[in-house]
Amino acid sequence: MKKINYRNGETILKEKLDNGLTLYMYNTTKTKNFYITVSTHFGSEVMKYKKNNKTYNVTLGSAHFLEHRVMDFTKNKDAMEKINELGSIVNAYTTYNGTNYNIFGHTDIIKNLELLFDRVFKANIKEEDVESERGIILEEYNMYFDDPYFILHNTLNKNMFNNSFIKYPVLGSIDGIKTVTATELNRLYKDFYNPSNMFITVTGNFRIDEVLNYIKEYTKDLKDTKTKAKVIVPKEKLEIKTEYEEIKMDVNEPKIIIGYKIPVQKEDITFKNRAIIGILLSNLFSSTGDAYEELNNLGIKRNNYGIDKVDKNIYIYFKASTDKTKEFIDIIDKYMNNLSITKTDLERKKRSNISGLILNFEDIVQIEDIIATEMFNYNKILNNKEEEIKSITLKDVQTLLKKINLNTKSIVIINK
Amino acid sequence: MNYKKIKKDNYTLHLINTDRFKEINVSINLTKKYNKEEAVYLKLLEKVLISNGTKKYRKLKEISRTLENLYRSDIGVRFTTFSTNMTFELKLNLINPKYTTKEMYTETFKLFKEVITSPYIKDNKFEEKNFELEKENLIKSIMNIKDISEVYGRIKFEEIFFKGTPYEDNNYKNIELFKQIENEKLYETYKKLFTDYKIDVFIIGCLEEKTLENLTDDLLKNFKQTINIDNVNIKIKNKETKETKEQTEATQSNLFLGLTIDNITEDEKNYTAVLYNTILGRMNNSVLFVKVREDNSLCYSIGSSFNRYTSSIVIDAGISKKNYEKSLELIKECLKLLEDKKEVEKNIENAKKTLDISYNDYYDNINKIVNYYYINEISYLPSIEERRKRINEITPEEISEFAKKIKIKNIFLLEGVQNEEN
Repeated sequence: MKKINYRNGETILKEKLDNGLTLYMYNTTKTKNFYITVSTHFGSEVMKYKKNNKTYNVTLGSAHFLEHRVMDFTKNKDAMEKINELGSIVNAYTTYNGTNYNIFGHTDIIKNLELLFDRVFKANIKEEDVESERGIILEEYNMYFDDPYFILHNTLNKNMFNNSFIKYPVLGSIDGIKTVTATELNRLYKDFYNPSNMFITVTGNFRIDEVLNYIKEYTKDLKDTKTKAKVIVPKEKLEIKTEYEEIKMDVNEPKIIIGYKIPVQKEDITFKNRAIIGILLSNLFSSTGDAYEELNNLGIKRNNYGIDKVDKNIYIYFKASTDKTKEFIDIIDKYMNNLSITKTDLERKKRSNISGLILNFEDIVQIEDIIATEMFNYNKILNNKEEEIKSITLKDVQTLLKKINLNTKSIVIINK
Repeated sequence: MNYKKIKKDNYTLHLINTDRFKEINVSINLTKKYNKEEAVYLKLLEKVLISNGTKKYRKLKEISRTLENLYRSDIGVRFTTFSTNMTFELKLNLINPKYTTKEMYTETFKLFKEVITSPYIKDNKFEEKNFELEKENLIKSIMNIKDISEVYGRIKFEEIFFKGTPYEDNNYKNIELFKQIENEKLYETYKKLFTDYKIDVFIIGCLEEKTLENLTDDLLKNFKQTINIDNVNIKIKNKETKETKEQTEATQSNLFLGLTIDNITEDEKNYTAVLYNTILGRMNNSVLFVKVREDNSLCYSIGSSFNRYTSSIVIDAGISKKNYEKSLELIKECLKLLEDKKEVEKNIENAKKTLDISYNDYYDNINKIVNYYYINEISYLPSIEERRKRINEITPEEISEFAKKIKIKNIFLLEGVQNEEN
């Protein structure tokens, strides 16, 4: 078993099983509970793939639909009963990058592992269950599409990207939810839920040897597929589809989102570069920054920003609820076109980021979330984040800034 | 975990010493009887106090930068209502100085004290421009509640169900009061923090107790305590069952049911109602979840919550408007089902286990621990282990008898009028 050590003294254990399945464990006696997750690198970003010389189009929203049907505790009354006897809490979620199934429990970890594994590794989706699930997922879809901020994001994604997965929400489309079949879901399950495409994480209070032995025993017969499904990533053009759109909706106050699509080389999509962009934006747009202050002084207080990665693009957005949309655009433009940082500010931000890492191991759900997020984004655990942040210099910032092109921008406004 | 309560002349210090957490959390809870007019001012003060700046740090960004330099410490202000009382909470979070530098105790407290006791004031007013901006921002934020139908639906429901109690109040309803807020009066409200409240300080973490006690004494040396708190228990005054509908420009509809409990005993409040509510709408396969969502695919979300101070339960569900009648009928069936001992028998042990895990979680959650000691300062809440023990003794008969005391008093539908795409 490999030990992944952190500078703050914490350790995550990693074991790669013969069939390709990876296991991560974080053991602590600080809590009485444990948290088990099984994840697959199959999320809604997969729109097309090739296997055995055959190309498959994936119905929109299939990854999310599959999550609902794999986690069939509620249809499988017997398993649900067992989960409830243990008092455990089950959940699952789908992102663009992957799907995660989890159990939060406090007693009999082996039974919990078995119940979760029986769902995730032995799924068999029936047509009648797919039919009954459609109504639930459509309600979920309606719930999201009542939220103006969700619509804002969704429209921006659609307008900024030509072919990328992010054009569609994780839930897919009404049409996709209505038409996906059990046959397709079973095929996707077979093609993407295989050991080398998955990882297990166990955090909390448990006996390492007991859990490791059980997982080895349970998964020994799981065979990795000989032929891997090769995801076909559509080519994304640099230019954006729609630069500006206004939507009419019954909102109390206009909402605006501005998105920047920044193409970068694959080798530049690193934790360090993301940290640099995070620091640059935080230095201006968080409460420590001049842009934040300028927005505040205009009364544009309800605003925030985010950074993400979409294929080979860094994607930055700024959103606000304000009737001063023009001023918002001008201020964001002004600061984005002059991204820079002083040495003093850089050092303060580095110190702040490193301080945040000290509290990363306080909560077993958060620890798992960090592992899953890093696996989905980088396909590895980042135990050297502190060193990476410490090593950032002004020169690194300038080098990255030279590579960034901020000309590709799109705006969406929701007006009454 | 070691708890120590120290009564001071002008405040009560609660030290919760535990090595479970790497951070230290200091909460100064100022409590007094709820008053609508003052609550409105306190809600704005929550926004103004830090952004206003201090004598030493005139701008918010200077405070924020100082906090970042103090290893990302955090200072926050929060105003909440607690049944018939209201709480103005001043909060400091810092990484335990044993992981940074020892000076962090004094440095963070120095800044905390500066923010609380030395805001920048001119002519008995907060900084005028910031005041106006925060006021405008707060009013707009409150008006924006209408954009999120689930939140809007809940407050409209509460206005009806809790009529005649502080729970009927909400910022949206009180919007005209917010518009009338004056800067001078806000400053007067601020000054009352030093004289008019019951003061409790909760410090949790792996503590250097004496150091923290001295720092807190110094921080609060100009505060005077006044105990003016109210009995937290409220009786809902609704006499007859009412069914109300309102429309909104959304696709999904939100259904709320308000349930009252006749002649609830203290024992039932502390234990039976909690277990009943877990079976009804909290656990994985709660009766509501299974019947309405899983067996009939009528909603994506459904659940219930018990409020011990109003002795009431609220059921909420996100549904499609065409499913309103059917959903309501099924919810009523669920309530009836739990009057049958045999039905309860199917779920009771599992519900106890579900509560077990949530009780374990208490020990991992700073806010839950502090909240427990705070509630006990104002009212009474049995300890986690007392709750665990008594709940484990509850029989199916107790639950089914309790179920018979429950009456539906209000049904509220916030009806989404947009066409559903399904």
